[in-house]
Amino acid sequence: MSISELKREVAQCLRDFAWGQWGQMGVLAATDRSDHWAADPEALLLLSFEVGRGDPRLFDEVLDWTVLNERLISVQRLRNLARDDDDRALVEAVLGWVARRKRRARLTAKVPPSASQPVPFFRGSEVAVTDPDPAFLAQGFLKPNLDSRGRSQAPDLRLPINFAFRMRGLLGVGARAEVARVLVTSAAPRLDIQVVAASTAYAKRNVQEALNALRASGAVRSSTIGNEQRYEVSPEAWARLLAIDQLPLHVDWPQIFSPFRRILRWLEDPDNEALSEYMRGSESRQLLVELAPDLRFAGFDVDVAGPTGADYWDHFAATLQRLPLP
Amino acid sequence: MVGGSGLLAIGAVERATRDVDVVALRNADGLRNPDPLPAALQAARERVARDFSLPPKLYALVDQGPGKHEEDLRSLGPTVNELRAAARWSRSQDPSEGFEQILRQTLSHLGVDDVDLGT
Repeated sequence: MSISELKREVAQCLRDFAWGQWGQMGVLAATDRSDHWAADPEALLLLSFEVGRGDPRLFDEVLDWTVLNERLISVQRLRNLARDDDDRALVEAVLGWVARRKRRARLTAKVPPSASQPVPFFRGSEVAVTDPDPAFLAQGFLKPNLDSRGRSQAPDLRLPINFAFRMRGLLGVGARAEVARVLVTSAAPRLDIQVVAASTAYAKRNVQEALNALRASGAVRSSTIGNEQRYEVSPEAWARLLAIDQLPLHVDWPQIFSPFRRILRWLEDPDNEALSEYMRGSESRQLLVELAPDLRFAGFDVDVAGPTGADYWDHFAATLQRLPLP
Repeated sequence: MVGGSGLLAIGAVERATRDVDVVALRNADGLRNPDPLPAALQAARERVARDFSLPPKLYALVDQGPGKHEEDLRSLGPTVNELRAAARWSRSQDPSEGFEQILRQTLSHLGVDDVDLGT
């Protein structure tokens, strides 16, 4: 399988997934999906910003949703989830775009404008951008200057996928809502602070403060096992409080989406198309080695060993095809 | 570089070589001792070793002599069986008598004397 074949397959899978998720969250999109997990809004936004570079309609609809629902979004968390400069440029471009439509101090760009030559934002686009959007241009992207279409809606809080917004309605946009979401939906009976911090994408200090507050209110219990403090909730009590028969499932979306963003960028990089067979195997091995900790945290069984030399590429492609993007 | 890898580097041959013999590095002042190798070359060496499942430390120790490689190898704390396996693999990469002699001396230095190298 060539890089371009794998790229087409992965990109299509990610586009279908993103449309299916947003269709349940208020974006104008037809979907027959009815997922039983709780979405992670900021993680899904960040993934969609990257995936949307290959699907302008998806990107513009997600922007439309973001500007309508910006009060439901944690800007701090969106920034926390950005792992590298590519992520940060996407986040700041979108926040800058939203800030021009909704005047909020929290939306002010935190990353200095890009000094590099701007590149087309949408991949594969050959249309000249004569009137680039200033927020995107500041981050080095040439994107047509289009206004919000105003077609999105607020998320339907009755759907399991929108559970995060329900928790935010109850506890406010911040660490408490995310900590409660993770504890309430996790299949593990109790979690330590490192796991909660990784799952919520908040710093341990913020998570500790949130856990202390929730514990003081009686919403969360803690116990000490060995030297470690573990935290738990009563799912039944939370289900009664929220009048839900079945609580949604927890998925570690940040640890799934971050690898997929990097994989997509790697597959899209034209320099990789020119690699020798050995270097393609070596580079793909290096990528998988770097992504494995996140994927394992999210519960995927990733074998990084594989065959030697150039043959590793087939192992890499097969591993990607087996990754169960739900 | 000398030997097959030198010919490969100048495009005189296309056949892959088992090793790369670096005898000197050139800088603005001329030639200098290649030890230690530049970080980028070390990283490339480690990556090739990883990509082809080479046990790089023992091989490098035998090939290039004691020093950092010995420190690195000892820091890994290999078991006797791991050293025996690495020795057999290293021998398969270089069947020459000279290499075998240095390999046996190196193993003895590491406390392993009874190794069947398949010779």
